[in-house]
Amino acid sequence: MTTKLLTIKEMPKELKIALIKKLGYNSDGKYVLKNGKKYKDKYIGEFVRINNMFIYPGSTIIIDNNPLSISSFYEEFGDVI
Amino acid sequence: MSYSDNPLEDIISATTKGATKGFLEWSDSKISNLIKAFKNKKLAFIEDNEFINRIKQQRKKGEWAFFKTYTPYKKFDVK
Repeated sequence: MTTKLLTIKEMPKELKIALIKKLGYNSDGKYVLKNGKKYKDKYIGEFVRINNMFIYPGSTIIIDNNPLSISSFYEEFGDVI
Repeated sequence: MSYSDNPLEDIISATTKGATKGFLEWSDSKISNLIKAFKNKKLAFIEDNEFINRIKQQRKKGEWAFFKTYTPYKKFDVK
């Protein structure tokens, strides 16, 4: 099953924050927070910014929107998007 | 802004058009519909499709197959 991609580039920041709050995350306005702490991209170890996220369902994976992280995601989860 | 019978499509349409007005009209239930589609794996959120499209093309190329042969997945680790 191929998941549909929704581009959130034009989405207001407040709505992005509302979305991630529904998913159990939060934001300080710049970074994604998990349990009150800045949340790291699992592939590159960098903190994920609210204006550069890639959010995939499943176990609600949030990674940074960069080629290396997305390539690593593909390697781990296959061509699901 | 007029809405169709499919609230999910309404939200997607408003988002992709950058409709700030649409945001102001979004209720908590509409956001919940978006999350519901997300949890059903019908939807993923990405800042920009550019990287996805580029990576999809690269993965079809011979260079990628060659790269994978000599660089196991775990070696991608740059942390």
